[in-house]
Amino acid sequence: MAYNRTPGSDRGGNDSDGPRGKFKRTYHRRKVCKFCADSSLAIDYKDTKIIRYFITERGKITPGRISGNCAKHQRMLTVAIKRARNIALLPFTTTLVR
Amino acid sequence: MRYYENLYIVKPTLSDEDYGGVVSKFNELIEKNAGVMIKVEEWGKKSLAYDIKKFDKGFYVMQQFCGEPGIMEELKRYLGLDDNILKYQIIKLGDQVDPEKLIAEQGEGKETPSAGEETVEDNSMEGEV
Repeated sequence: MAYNRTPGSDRGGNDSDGPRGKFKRTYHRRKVCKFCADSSLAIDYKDTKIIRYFITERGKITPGRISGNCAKHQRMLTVAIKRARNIALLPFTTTLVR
Repeated sequence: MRYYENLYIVKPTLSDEDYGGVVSKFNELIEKNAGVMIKVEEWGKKSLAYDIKKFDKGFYVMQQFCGEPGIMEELKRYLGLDDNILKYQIIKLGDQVDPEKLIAEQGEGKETPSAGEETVEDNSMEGEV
């Protein structure tokens, strides 16, 4: 990182340094783990209202990099989702036609 | 004593009487096996996320109880034998808990609902990790 920023360094060059830096800056968004931010929010497999926020329309588990959850809470969440699926509170898939 | 939670689904076609009989049967089963009942919740008839044994609805019943590990085996056996049970799931909420303390927490929970429930949730988290 350091030598890239040094002006006049002959290693990076204009073509590789410029666009990459711009790209990073434009798409940077700070994500905060919901469960870390709000300690009163507990992960419980019976509470489908909260869990539903973290699954897609098709019933898939949203990845941690999308939901922004920290690794610890994402792990607890996946366990909770799988438990809820097992007891038919949440669907495995939604392709079934009712 | 260990702290367990059992969530089971009863057939939706049962009459109120039969349904009550099933619920009380499993509550008594725990007492009979030297367990301590902490909480029983009947969620009523709910629609299932997917069909189980060709039913798309079911009565959800949740029971939280304390007991020795043997109690769970016994409960599992009876749940499996009963035709009125569509599905069940038993999970461990905690190791080496004091049932009296939990009952006291439940009592507090009635007066101030939010505070009491949270403490129970915290216990469950510790048990799972």
